[in-house]
Amino acid sequence: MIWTPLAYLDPGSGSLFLQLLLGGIAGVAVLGKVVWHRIKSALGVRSGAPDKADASLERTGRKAE
Amino acid sequence: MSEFRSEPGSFRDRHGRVFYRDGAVYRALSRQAIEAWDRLEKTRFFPRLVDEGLIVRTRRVDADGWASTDVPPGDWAGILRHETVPYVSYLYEWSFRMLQDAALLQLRLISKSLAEGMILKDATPYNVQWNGSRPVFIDIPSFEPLPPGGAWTGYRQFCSLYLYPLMLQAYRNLPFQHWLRGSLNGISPRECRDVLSTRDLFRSGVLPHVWLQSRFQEKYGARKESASQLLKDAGFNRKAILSNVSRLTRLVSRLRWTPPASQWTGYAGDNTYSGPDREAKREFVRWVVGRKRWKTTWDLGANTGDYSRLAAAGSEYVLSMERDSASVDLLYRDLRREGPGNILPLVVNLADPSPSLGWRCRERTSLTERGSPELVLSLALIHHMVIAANIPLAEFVEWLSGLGGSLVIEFVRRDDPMVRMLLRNKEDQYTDYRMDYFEECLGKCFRVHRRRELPSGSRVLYFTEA
Repeated sequence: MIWTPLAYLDPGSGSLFLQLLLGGIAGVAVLGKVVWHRIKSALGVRSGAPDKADASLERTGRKAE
Repeated sequence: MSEFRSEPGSFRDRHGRVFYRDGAVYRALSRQAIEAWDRLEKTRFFPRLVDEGLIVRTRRVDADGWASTDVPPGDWAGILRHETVPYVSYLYEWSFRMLQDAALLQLRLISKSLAEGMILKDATPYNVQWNGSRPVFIDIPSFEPLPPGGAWTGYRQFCSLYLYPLMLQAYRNLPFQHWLRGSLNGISPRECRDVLSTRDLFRSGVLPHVWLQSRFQEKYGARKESASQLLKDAGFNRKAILSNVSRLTRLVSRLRWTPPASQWTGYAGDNTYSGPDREAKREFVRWVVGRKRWKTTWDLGANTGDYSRLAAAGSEYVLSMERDSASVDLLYRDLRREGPGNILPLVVNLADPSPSLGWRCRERTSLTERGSPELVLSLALIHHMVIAANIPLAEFVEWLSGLGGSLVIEFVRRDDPMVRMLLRNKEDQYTDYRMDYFEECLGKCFRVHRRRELPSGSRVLYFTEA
């Protein structure tokens, strides 16, 4: 089953981004990815097909866990 | 027909609703919330923490035969039944160590959940209640599976309702109770940043959790894109959450509040009582407490809880209410160490008790709506209410009788050193503060069973029934 989070709280965008820094090494690695995505999109480079990207992110997530 | 009542404070999360049926506490859950419950039940940590008393004992009930009026309106997929807590209290009635222990419980639950692929979707102290001096987590639908790339949505709430209040009290000696009573959503990062000084930036946790969070909110708060989607896309993972949670645990457990020398913490050992007076008073209270097994006793103006402890021996549950939060904190610390386990210490100013608050003024209920005592102790309190807080004597006695229980009350005569001290800088307009008038008021509301003058002659004890 794909779980949709039941968040009734607004976590706050700033607080969410901050969690990247507070996440230590794991968070900083993700922060790097966010910045990299930004650079790519600023340069107009499109990322891969969504399903492929999702699968790869899930793998990364699992590996990191 | 069963008696049904919906909990007016349970509305924020549409996936669940608390209600009462024949005095028991239930929770109706949506399809998705029931699926989360099924998963929670199968974890290793959940039954263990329930057995340790840290999570409220809960079971799913079969509500097939129930009438539609027995559940709140809505499309519910299942019903849970929770064990009741003896008295519902709120964070603005807790002392520093109480909020600190509740915060540590919250963090512990998050890290236990993360280890088994779950998380708590919020982080509010309103989800923690007390069994005496032991915190117990009551909001079962807070637990939910952590989706891949999911962040900790409750982090900001944790800061606003746990971390900042504790920091402000530890670092600035600012009592959090007033602020949290005035703001149910707690203290915002910006507010906390504005209160702290530049020097505080070097104190543990201030730079990342206060200053940076406030700056990040200003910088990113108005962005249109979804931050949670961005984190998810980048592969945010539970290791990052765990790292944050374990650092918060270290931070919170190291926070210390050193109260300023308080008038009350030294009171029990350094007051105006002579030895024989104190012994006679203890003997009187012991006699009342021993008359029967009292269901709930409220000790009003309990100081560091000497008489609450006496009452605890003959009561199922004792609420020990004191206005001075340093005294309450000391009592809580001692109760955690050595018990007894049936006393709940609370920070309460009786001249201004907790009101009804929140949405429709019904989200958080007032002090007296949440329970009623079978026995009330009002020892060495009346002179503070009448002379220091300017409450008319007749109104105070009337209020006590409205609580509905039997009453032990101590009248402190005008020649008592404490009364003289309270009057030293005031115009003595308290013509109602007289023993004969007090006895007249008491007689109107109660039946006096026993009267005992303490050996020094400046104080008199009464045991009365409604």
